[in-house]
Amino acid sequence: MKKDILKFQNVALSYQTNDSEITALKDISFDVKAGEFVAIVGPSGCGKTTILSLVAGLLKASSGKILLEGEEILATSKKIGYMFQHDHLFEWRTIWQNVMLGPELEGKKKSPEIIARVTELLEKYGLKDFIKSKPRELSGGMRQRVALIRTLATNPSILLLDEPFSALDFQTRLKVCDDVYNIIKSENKTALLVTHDISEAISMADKVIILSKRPSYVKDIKIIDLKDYPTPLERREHPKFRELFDEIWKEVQFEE
Amino acid sequence: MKNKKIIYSKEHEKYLKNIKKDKITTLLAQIIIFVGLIGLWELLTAVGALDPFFFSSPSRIVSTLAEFFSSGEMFTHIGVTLYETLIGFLIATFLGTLIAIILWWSEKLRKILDPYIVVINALPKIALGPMIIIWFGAGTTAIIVMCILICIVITTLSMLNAFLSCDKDKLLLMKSLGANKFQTFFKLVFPNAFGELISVLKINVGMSWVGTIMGEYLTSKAGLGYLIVYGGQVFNLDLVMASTVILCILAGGMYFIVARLEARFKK
Repeated sequence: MKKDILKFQNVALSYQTNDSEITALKDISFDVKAGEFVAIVGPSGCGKTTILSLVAGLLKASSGKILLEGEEILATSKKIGYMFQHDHLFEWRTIWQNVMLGPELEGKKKSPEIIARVTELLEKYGLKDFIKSKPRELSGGMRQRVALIRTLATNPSILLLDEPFSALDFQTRLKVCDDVYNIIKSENKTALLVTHDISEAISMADKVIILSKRPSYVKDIKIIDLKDYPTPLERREHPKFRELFDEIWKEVQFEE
Repeated sequence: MKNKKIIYSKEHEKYLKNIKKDKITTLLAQIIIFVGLIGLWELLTAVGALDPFFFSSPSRIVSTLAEFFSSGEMFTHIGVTLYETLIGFLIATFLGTLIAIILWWSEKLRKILDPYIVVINALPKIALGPMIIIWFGAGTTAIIVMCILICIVITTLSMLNAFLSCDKDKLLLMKSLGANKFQTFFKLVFPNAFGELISVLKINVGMSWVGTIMGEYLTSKAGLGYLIVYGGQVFNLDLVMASTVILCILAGGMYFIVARLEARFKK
């Protein structure tokens, strides 16, 4: 039995506005095991990103508990790697300076161990020749890979992916999706993906969590077992893909 | 790229030719306007349609300039004005950016000071002239203070705006990587606002000349602003025009330097 990396126990969250109090999350419970790829889907505005903010320690739950490796999350932590919709590479820095941002902030820019690991990652994922380039010289897919390596440089226990492909066009998106998935899997990372794209969720995740509309609760958790097809792109061709898609689609759709 | 001879298609050659032609015609038009206006001015004053006593004339401006330069007097005036402008420009840019950093740092302070900044921004700074002269004495210091006052508010506001317009997700990224506020500022917010800093410099080039000349109008014993006011008072329009020409050249030159600086950093 693999251990839990992340555990949500009856988490609720409400926030205040000038007009009223809004309950974003009513009752959220789920867990993410080591090495697992979990996707969260749900109708728009259901608080998917709120869940990531909670894990990242940027928001505090009103009630319930969130445990990261057995410890309650109280503030931002270096165990978390956050990946955004846009790559957010700093244009004035070279690729190397971009991926080393995390270690640099920790004062470990010169750690031989980190330098070796980051160099290996860049080499492995075809970015070695671009170390001295500026981000604008790279394609959208390459930029997203750099962003992922920047996240991996600090060696986080869990990766939070907030719609990381939605800013890309469809062709690039499928390609980058494969790339990111392969990197995460081969580096043996645990990941929590938030997306509005059901097929993306099915093609990447081991487990899909379906949220209800606001105030949201966990409506269903679907185990995705398409492991006989190795990559997200191939999984879209899996005989069971359509069926899973329809099931999840109905559950999300029924809400709206 | 090595010395490879690139062979363009006919279409491309035509395209390049058109661009070149366009550039040449624009430059030509600019020269014609310049020469034409100067020529017309000279002609109208020569035939007596315009009275050179009120309108001066290009040839009189040239001879005034020659006289002032050969006596070395013009260099003193240029030196004084250039010194005041540069000092004012540098101090205003530095202080304005510093104040913007402080206001970025503390949201509370920003909120508290907001109405004051709005009022100071709206106030015509020239109104403070008499006060400045009384506090700093009639002279160079007062002129530099005037220059700083004119530039500093716009610098502060533009820089603050640039700092605050930093992408929220980028800030979140820094936070998730464990950056403190100091690191967030110097590794993200400031370099991110660098483009804005350059355009503030460009604006300040113009503003600092306005400030200095205004200051010299109020109180001065030397400088281009002094020459203009003096020339106006004694009805020596040749001197007024000659000083204005020198001002144009200096301000243009300073702007050009900043533009070059920008090109170098953008590369």
